[in-house]
Amino acid sequence: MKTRILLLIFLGYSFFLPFQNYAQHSSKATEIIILHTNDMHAKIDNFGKLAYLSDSLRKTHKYVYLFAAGDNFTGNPVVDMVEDKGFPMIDLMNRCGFTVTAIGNHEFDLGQEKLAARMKQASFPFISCNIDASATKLPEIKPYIILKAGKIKLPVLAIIQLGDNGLPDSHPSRLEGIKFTNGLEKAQEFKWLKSKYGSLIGLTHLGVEMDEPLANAMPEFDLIVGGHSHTTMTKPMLINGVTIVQTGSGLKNVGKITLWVEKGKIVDKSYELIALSEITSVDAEVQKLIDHYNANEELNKPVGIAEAAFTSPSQLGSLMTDAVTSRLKVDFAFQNVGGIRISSLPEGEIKLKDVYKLDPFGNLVVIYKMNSEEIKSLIMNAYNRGKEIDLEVSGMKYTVIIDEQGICTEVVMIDNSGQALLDGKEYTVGVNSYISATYKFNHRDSGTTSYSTTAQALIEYLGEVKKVNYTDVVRTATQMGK
Amino acid sequence: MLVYLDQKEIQVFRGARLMDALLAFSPKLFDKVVNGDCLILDRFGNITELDGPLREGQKLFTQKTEL
Repeated sequence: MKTRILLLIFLGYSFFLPFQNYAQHSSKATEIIILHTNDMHAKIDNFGKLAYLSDSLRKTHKYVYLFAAGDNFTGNPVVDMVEDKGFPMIDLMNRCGFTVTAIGNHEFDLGQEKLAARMKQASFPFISCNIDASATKLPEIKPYIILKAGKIKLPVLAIIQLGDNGLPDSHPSRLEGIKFTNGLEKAQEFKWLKSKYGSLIGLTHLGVEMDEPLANAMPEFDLIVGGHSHTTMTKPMLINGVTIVQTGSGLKNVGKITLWVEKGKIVDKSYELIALSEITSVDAEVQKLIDHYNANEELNKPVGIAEAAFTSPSQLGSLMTDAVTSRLKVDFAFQNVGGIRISSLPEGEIKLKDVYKLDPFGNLVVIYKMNSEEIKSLIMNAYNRGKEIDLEVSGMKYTVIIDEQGICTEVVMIDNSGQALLDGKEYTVGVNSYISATYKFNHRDSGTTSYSTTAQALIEYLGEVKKVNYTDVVRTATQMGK
Repeated sequence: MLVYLDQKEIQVFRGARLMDALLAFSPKLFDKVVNGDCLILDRFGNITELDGPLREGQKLFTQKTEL
């Protein structure tokens, strides 16, 4: 028993063994610094600090590289919602001197045409070993790069995550024509890189839950610079002799790995997680550019026209839900009143920034297959939370029947053709992720995200219909039961 | 899909983020994490950010932030 406890203590300790001094390096070893980040998700505010940090290191060290482990885009309207989607992000990454990025699932959120433009704009390659985009207009995606540090060559192999459907987590419509293969299996085909060059670095967008089996299956990796799971590692993990690092998300942190390489082999390493909040200096030129992008006039761009003023949250909720039924091709959509963050909107231009004021939360659209009884349970339970109408709707009208205590006892639902919802029929229903997570309702289907936000759906909808008028739109009512 | 927080089941939609699972589990706990009073750790003991994607069967743990 005592032996078992000692073994567990040892395993626990070795699992999180500080990542340094595995071996003593000689003065002949070449020092290589890799700065890395992952899942920046279009957050640009810390690029001035990153530029300062990387440039400072380049002044004092010969070989400094900058890695991104994927998901550079999606998460900030000044990057995602401008005319040339994603341009500011790549511009800033170019100026910071990024060496390479793995392709993450959210790179595809741009759509293939815009992603192709961003890949061409970048002064660094987008790589992945398990993506075959040769049948599309995307530029060639190489599986790996070779870092050159004097005579030393270090291969860097990238891998993207796939969901249960065999695709990265993005809307399938954006992935048409691209072939994806299992990353853990595909990586096995590149073991020869280790034999040829003596070392192998993984740049993965798999998430730490998949980096672990990768390290167990391929001890050929010396180091895995990971992404996808938004994991902040203050200390690296050591799995099967493979070191795994990741920095969280949103460019809050940067990892600094120092490798000492002799005759192609990594003989020593050290690691530090740097919180960019701790860095007080910025690169002035890059900061100027960030300020320019943040003050982007495109946010004042009209995305649609309100032919008449919206005078109530109910009208705005009807607009928001119409966007979901239209863009996500669902029968019905619901929006909670609490998630409608402005109460009115004047007649005239609806600007991009108005959409983000109306719907600032970044909620995803979640799609359920539901029958009429399940839909009824959603409306009833939502009403009974505060004894008032709480869900705006599209695709139907509903009347809540209440008793003397104000409790909803029945719901009458009529579709857009004036017919009652059919018993036993399965409908597709879109709700935001807040409703999905916090509202109680009966549903056999656990729901699936569309990987689109409700705000994106609204922007696309307004772009499609151009003009909207909700003056006389009333879709919900309350009636006292007999 | 099912994920686990401190060995308790949370049923959440496919493709959910940590924030969605926390809201489903306990809006109070969600607020604590947002306010920095509590951290969510993965099974390796690493901090997981609120916007991080979840996998089916993923195991997570709460940890009070040290004062």
